[in-house]
Amino acid sequence: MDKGIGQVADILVFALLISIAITALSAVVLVDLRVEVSLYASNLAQSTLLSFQYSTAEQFGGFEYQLGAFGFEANFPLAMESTRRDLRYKTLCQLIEETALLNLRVEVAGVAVPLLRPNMAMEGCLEVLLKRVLDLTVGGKFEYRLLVRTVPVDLGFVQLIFEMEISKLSGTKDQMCSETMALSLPTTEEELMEILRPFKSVPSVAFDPDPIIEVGLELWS
Amino acid sequence: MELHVGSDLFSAALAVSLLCVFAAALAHTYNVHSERESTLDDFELLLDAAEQLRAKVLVSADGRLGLIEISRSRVESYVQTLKINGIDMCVEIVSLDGEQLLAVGLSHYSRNNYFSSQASASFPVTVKCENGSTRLCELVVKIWRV
Repeated sequence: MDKGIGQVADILVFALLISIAITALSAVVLVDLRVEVSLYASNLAQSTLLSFQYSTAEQFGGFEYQLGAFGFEANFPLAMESTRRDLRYKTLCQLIEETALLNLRVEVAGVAVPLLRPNMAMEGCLEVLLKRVLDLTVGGKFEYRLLVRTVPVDLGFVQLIFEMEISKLSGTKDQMCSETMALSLPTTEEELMEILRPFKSVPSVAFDPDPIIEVGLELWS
Repeated sequence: MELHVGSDLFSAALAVSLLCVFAAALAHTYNVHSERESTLDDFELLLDAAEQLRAKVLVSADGRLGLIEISRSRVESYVQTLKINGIDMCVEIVSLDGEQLLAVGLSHYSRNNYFSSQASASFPVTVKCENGSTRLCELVVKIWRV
């Protein structure tokens, strides 16, 4: 009886060792598969960000919007014609830079300060355009999240920021890669000072001489 | 020492069977693993080749990374160089609306892809047109060993 129990125990230990060995080997195979997908995702994200530098809005149906203020847009024909901006000839990177510059937000102690933003509609139009481009380039292969943000001009109690997120994510996914491209914010210290003029205590030395916009593309699978 | 014909032989047969199963599983996993490694090597080679095409072979005259100019002769020359090293390749550039702007090595691909494993991938590229405008296209690269 004891001998039988001993044999059963031996068999169970042996089977356990086999299971552990097979599990360990299978894990190695699965890791390789993820490496391959991740390598491709990284290359695809880099190519997509590079293509933003030279592809114009014209290829994706154009880019135009109406100037307005506080959400108000003139709806009579003469005003609509004179306040319409058609930027179809600009590249996607140029549009990102311009949108960020014209839609910088001021936050005082973490609270957004309402500013007159005549180019507010530009942000929405850019979101639609970039989503269309991303659906065409990476949308069929991966899910994605594009983050556009200025490195915040942080002056303690006042922050000057721009942030935009465009994503197509559903459910819990694995992040395959994250690639970032830096663009320069086409502005000068004087222009930034002008935005912050109401906040008298801002020291002029606080600005980065070359403020940048980070464009990050994450691919998920 | 005493031999128990029933139980000892049964134990031995069971142990041998389990060892056989383990050996078979090990061999299969090793086979799958080496196949995956080979595929991964091929895939890395494909990514390198695509990078070479974008950054060197087809790069625009002003050397701007990410912007390419279509040149059949340069692609054919690059494909020949790879072929000398035992790697066959086909390259396609297709616009987003499906127009084929360049195809090199497609006939080789259709003849050979039944007999060897192949890797393929596509990347967005911006093509500089003759009139100076740009066009977002897809670079499709396929490679296989000959």
